[in-house]
Amino acid sequence: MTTKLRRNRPGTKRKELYDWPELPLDEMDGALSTQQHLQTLIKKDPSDIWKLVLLPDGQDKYVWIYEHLCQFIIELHRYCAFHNDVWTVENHPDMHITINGEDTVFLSSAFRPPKKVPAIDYITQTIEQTQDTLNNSTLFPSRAFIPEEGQAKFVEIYRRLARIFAFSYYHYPDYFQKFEKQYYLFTRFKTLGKYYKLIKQESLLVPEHVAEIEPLKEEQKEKEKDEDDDDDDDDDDDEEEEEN
Amino acid sequence: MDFFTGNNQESDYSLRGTLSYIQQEFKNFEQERRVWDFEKKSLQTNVKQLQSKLKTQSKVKMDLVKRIKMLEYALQQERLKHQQRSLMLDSPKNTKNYGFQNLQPESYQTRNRYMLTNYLEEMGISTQHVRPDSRTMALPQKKAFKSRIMKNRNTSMDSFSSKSQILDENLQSKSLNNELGDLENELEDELDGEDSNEDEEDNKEKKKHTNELETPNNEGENEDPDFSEEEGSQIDDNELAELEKDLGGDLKENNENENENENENENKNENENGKEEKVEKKKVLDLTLMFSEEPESKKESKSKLKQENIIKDKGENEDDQLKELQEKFGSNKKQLNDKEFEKFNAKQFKFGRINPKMLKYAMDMYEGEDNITEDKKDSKSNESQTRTPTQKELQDQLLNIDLLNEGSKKEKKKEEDPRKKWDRKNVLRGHFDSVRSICWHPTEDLLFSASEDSTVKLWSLNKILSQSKKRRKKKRKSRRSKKGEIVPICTYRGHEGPVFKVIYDETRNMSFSAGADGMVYAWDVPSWNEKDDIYTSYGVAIHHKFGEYSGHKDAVWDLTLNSTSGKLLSASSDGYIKLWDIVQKNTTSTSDYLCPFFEENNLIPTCLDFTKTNPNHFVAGYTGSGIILHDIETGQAINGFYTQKGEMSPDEMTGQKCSFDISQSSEMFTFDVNKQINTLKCYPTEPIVIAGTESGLISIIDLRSGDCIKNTVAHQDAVTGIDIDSLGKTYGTVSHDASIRFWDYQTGNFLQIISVSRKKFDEALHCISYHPKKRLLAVGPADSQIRIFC
Repeated sequence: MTTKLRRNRPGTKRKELYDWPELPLDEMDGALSTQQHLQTLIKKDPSDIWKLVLLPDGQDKYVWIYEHLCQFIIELHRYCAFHNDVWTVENHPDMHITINGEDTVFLSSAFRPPKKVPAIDYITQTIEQTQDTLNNSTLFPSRAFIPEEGQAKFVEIYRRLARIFAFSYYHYPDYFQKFEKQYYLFTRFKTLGKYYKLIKQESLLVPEHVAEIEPLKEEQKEKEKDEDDDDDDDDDDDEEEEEN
Repeated sequence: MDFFTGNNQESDYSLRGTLSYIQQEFKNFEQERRVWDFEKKSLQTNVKQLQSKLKTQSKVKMDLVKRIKMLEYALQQERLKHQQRSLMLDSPKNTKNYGFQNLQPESYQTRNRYMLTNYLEEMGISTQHVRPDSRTMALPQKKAFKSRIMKNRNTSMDSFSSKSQILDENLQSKSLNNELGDLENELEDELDGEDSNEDEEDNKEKKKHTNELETPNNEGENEDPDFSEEEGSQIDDNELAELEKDLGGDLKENNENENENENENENKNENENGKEEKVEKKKVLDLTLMFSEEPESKKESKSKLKQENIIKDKGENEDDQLKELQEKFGSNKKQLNDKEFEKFNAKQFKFGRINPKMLKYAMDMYEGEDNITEDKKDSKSNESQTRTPTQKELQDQLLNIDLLNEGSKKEKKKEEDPRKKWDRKNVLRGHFDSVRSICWHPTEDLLFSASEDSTVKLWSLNKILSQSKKRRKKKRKSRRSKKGEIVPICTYRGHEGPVFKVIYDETRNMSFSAGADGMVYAWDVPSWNEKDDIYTSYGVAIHHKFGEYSGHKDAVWDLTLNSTSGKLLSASSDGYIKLWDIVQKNTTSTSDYLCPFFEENNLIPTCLDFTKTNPNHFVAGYTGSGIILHDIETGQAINGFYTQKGEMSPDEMTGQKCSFDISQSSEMFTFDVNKQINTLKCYPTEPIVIAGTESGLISIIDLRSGDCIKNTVAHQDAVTGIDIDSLGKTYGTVSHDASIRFWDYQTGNFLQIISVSRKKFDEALHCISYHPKKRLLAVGPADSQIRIFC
């Protein structure tokens, strides 16, 4: 291995940030290896959705989802800033989405009882609330194991976050597409959610064709089956493939 | 709607009429609500005031205890000396029994005096200051006074309890009642505590001088009734009594305040502002009063208090008269202090030995108190303008007192205080990626953190701090947090990418952040209090953005600020250091600085800091082993310093010259990220910089002489963060070897290590920050969970 350390030293140029040789997952140690792996994959190719979504070898399913959710929050903060010009109080005094001629107004669950707030506040509050939930030490005491109470939260979080994407999709399709082209955020969100059955198509609020990607290839499916059935003997190959 | 469609049938209820009625009702309701809010606030203010007062009093108590210790120490010293002397002089009487009882007071005195004079001369202190007679003269008077004081104390205790009863009755708000109840208990505890302290002093005898606070020492009284230790304890008695009186007075006052507030709330809200201002003034004055320790002054101050009350009731020309009083009081105070200091000197003499350290301590203490009173006078004259500053200033002063006490502590008992071991306190979970930078709000328990998850977050630590202070208080259900967890009170978004640095500007109450997107943003700090909702509606995604500074073409890695002159510096990986004038709100940089060897060696600035001794100088570390001292005014690089040289081992550099003329050679400055300076911090009072390098070195460099004071391998991996505690006694370093290490600044000794084991890739810890006023420390790690130590 080269002596190059995987760190961003002060003074690093922007294009050299996170620019370090990929580290195979099984060589990573420590509590943050899952996050490291996920971020490495995203950095490498955000459009390779299936590689991002499928459970890496030897990982806990819920931990993997948890890390994905954390990553969504990081990117959703940027998503908000990206829409800063259009998501204003004047444009959207409430969180209002019209789907197939049916109006829906969402109330912010950050307040009790839920309150009608401007769309942008609904969105930021949802993000921040999710962030606080994900950081709650009772629900998620560790990044290596997710207790059942934490697992139960995933569906709720997913349903809420989906509204943000839907809002962008219906009101600002250009913004939606532009961001999507660059970061594939919603595609990842949708694929992950559906693959792990965290969300149903109708809860995503957007038409099914949006951000739909090719289904898993047969061989990958088989591999998945193997994983489910058996041990992860085959998957070492998979890991190596990734590296190359 | 049905209601309105049917309104034609009844002519009495027209739509318009109903609407206006509803509107009016609503208005009334709103008005009531406002009044109620106002009442609530004013009551809260009162509670705060009471609490702050309590704090001050406990400080004063501490102060007194320290004095007792000091006197004890002096006595010990004297006694030791005396024993030696008497052994040496070896009079046959004394060899048998050198307890002092057998000696005639006068002969003892004269001889003792002679010895002391000798000592003083030995130590080069002239005997002119010394007035030995004052002791013998004063003694009977003092005894009389002591008994008087005792009486006074008893009465004041009585009045205290009765006052508190009245206070109880007057309070209507439940929560306030509780708060005050606690407060009262604490006050009483305190008084009890003091009494017991005294009891101990009266009864017990201890022969060993220990560092424990409880150590009473009244041997002097038993062994030698004439000996002046008694004076020490008397003074202390006086002080304690005075303190208690003050407590009584305070309560009385508060009681009045309550009444006033309630009355006024009923009448007019507008007047109250003015009144409260006065009340606060009075309290400030009160604080100063508590520092007056001369018995005579007590009467004066008491009467002044009364005067002031009268003035306030009349509500005429208060300001002028107040000022007059303050002036009077100020001058009085000065005299008193002078007097007291002389007296102190005399006391020292009588104890037979002037310990220079003690003298210095005493001087510091008295000077410190002078400063405080002066500060207060200043603030009092400023106070007449607005309401909020007064309170702020009051708090500031309290903090000053805190600081001062800390300062004197280190001279005396708690010498190890800044060096005391740090304990884990809390973990702040909120970020999802490495925390790159943290900084404290200098006066409040607010913490800013910048993270690679592209957000800056603001945390309030009020809750955890108050929790630990008052554990007996039942945990109230708060919306703010789920199960005692702290969530950020504000998330600043706007950076498109990792945020690398956040700093706070005290003067303008803003924070600045910089990140990989090459932008520097200025943020407003939201006003927030415990009872607000967690999630606030700002109506915009990028909220609280005050301004932005664009110009860098690449990631901005470090910021530093001179708050008073309003100069902001940013270091970017495009090679430039830019200077921004934040006073003018210029969004373009006013000047740029480039490393002199930029073209040759492509050196990029990594970190920078203003020197605290010259506001026009700053030091910058580069992606080599060198540091350069720049001048803002001339725009020139003044001097260069290197931390590593050729094959020389780091330790060999210690004590050597490490500066060089930058116009001559660039050999010392070669691009090498493995030796680069990662962080540097200037010492608060001297032109000294502490730098940490990628190779794990810590270099302490004297910028004036160019000497390397210390150069040592401190960590096993890159040093990433350095901070110096507010007293300049210790500094802490963090490193990618996942440890926090604490060092003694003077001796360079290693003090403590705390390990944080979680690493992300090859990064572990990024930053460390001491709270400027309190014993708090925050560390920002790569695992995104900010650690708090206390």
